[in-house]
Amino acid sequence: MIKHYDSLKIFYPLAGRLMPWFGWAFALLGIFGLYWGLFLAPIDAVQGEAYRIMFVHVPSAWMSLMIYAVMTICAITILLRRSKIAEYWLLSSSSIGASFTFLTLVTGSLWGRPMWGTWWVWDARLTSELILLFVYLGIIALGNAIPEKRKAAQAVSMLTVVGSINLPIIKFSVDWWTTLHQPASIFRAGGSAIHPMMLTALLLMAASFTCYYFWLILWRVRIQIRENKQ
Amino acid sequence: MTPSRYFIFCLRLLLRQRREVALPLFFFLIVLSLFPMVFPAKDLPSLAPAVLWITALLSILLSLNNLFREDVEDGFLTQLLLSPAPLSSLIAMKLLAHWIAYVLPLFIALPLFGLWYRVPTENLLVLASSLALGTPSLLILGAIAAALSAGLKQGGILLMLITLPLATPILLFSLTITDMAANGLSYTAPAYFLLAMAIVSASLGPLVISASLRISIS
Repeated sequence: MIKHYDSLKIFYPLAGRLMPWFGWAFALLGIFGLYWGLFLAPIDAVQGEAYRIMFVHVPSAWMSLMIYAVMTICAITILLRRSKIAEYWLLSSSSIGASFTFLTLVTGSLWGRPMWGTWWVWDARLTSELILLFVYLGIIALGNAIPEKRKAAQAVSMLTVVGSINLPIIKFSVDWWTTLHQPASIFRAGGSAIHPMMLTALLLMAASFTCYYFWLILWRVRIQIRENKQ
Repeated sequence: MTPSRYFIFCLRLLLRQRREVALPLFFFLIVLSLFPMVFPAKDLPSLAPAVLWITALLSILLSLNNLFREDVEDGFLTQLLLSPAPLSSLIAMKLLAHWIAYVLPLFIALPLFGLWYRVPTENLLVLASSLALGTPSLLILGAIAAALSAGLKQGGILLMLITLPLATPILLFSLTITDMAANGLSYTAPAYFLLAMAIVSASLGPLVISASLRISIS
């Protein structure tokens, strides 16, 4: 079944047919989610209006991890068997993942300014997100440095798999290190239950971002298929 | 070539390149000497573990720059591929020789470091054990990056960019060891973590490195 969809001849038109669906879903869910988050969701008791950046920040943080997971699946596929689509998918994903990670850091810092009184804290989450950005940048740099597409994809998949083993260890070591050195950050796990209106907006935005990723990646993979044909 | 013979071969080769082998150690000492010049003397003992680790990290990565480059360029690696012994076992031997040639001298420089940074001997021993536990996984992680970037022009900087973010756990666990030791706590937990990472990377690393080299020369 997977083999069937792995052929370029079937994938190219299929991706073309799926793209508008993802594109429209991204736009509609995004408009709904933003409206819900910015106007319908109640104001936060502690953080006031400034918390509303969460509706961009949290979904981007989820995306930054989800894209890495998708890349790991592509990478394992490439290492086990030949797959042109997985190669294109992997190479095109890294810059989208890096962008979402960057967006997470920027929105987090905008949020941190009114909440913590500073743009940047070496808190566990910020630090591990920054390291994730560097991992993404390393992957992009390696992919760009190798001129042959196939070889680049294989080298990048090796690095992606090594990184996927390493990322949980990074997360854990940074958590441990920062708890040794700093008081726990203002977000406590299970501290306060999220309001259902906020949760709805958050999930709408997350769905919208996911559709955006698939829309963009299908687009990019199609472009690469076409480039390769010429 | 059998793995043990290849090990002797690598050691002899490194012994002949004494002058080149000394360069990362030289770098290590120069960078270590910069911090006491710019920081007040009273801060040095508290900075010492972090400075030692970051400097060691950089000089080890620097030493990995040419780990596979020549072997890839002059075709020696292809020869190794043809030998009956599996490539991963040969790689393991090469890394062991590399550790002896480039990392062991850092331990010999430790007393000098203790003198410069006013680190008492017992703390120096803790630092030495953190280096002993952390450097094997660091070396293997760097070697994976070196294998992936072996044939490339900007290999040196790529090696750093790829390895440094992935090496943060090693750095943090090692500094947790020295931190806990400084506070009189038992540091077995981070030490076991480093040991576990060393064992996992020593067993899987050579396989990943040989697969990466095969990609590089394909």
